[in-house]
Amino acid sequence: MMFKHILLTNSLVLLCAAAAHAAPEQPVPVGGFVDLEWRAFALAGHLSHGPAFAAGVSLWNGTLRLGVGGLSRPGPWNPASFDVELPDGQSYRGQRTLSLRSDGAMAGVHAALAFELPGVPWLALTLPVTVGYGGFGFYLQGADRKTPDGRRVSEWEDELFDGRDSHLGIVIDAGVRVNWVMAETRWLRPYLGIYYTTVPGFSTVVRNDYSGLSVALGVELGHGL
Amino acid sequence: MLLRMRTTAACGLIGLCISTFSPAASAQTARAGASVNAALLASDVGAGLGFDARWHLPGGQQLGLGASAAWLGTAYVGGRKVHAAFSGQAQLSALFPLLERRPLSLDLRISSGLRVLRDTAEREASDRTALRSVSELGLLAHVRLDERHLLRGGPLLTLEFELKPTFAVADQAQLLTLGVGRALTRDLLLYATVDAGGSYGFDGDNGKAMVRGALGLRFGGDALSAF
Repeated sequence: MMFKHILLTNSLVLLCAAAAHAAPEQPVPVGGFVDLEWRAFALAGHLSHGPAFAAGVSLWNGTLRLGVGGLSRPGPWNPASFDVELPDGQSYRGQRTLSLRSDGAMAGVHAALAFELPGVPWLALTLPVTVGYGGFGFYLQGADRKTPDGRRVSEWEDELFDGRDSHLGIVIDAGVRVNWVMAETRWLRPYLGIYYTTVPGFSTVVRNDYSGLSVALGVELGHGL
Repeated sequence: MLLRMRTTAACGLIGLCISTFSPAASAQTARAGASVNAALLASDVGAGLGFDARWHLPGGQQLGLGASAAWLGTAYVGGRKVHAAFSGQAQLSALFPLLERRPLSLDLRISSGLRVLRDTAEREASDRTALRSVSELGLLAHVRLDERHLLRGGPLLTLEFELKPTFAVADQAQLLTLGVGRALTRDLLLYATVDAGGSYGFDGDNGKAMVRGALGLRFGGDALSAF
């Protein structure tokens, strides 16, 4: 299913890329965009941070953007930990309760609508949505990554948590952004955004949701708006 | 539904061919020729050197052949963490301008190659050498800031499969890349790039995050062509 989504998105991007060559110079009926941002996440009841992106084709002077997008929450850069008691009286390295770190990522189809704010030509409003595939999970950290028998950590995690240390599935990320449109450099648009991210059906041994808000500081390089 | 998907995909591929090879798709002032590039590479796990040679086509496309060597403080062989390793890599690369309206162009960059990793710390280990297939896809915006400066930004999606000693996804990363280049002469570019993002591999047993950078010189072609 994900493969079909990727195929469809790529096809749209490439079709639009081909169409762009017949387009007149100004305004920009078909252009390109790249959004790069850093997020402060309030997902899963804790604070974390990580990068996010979107890139693709913009249509009708940037009003509609279609492409690919994604986000990630790297574990090593986020010290938040989660205590979990091992089920069935198990222990690991002499511990009944383990402290886990978390990480995750998603990538998928991205679409956005953008508008100039009436009366405020130096601001634009963007409504982005990314629907993709990915997941979030929890993993052993620090000294606990040295397993008692030399087997790989992931094998121990699977056994200790019965495969419920992570969840893979659809991830939905949607929000609203305010872009600063500078008259001299319209191709460079810094922005602030607020998003809501959710993972339908999320279920792990640690918690049963990985949803929440995030705030983004980013920059868009692109044609049009 | 599947037929429709396939039709759409076929149209997309045709679109790629048109956009890539049609003269109308060409960068406005791209000069044909060749360039050579040398770079110092650094990452959160090591450092190295990279070289490549590129053929610049009149339409702005670039085809390249490159190699790199790096000495790493941390690497993963068969999902096992090793504390010193040598990495050698060779790859083919291609860059296609998808859309260009000055000062900004949107480029698709793909590369694919092979990497050999050699555990240099544990000489008694049974599987000291890993062979990986490495691929990278980037959708990059290049902006000519003025007559001498070029800005680059975009997402990079990397996929590395370990082929030996195990067969597994070794690194699947999505990175943000930012770079800036300064034309020192008409055909000499000094550039610096930084890439950072999360990574997943070996069922979660890889490094989970990645930061890397390059400082390089490219000689030949149009100094302000995409890098």
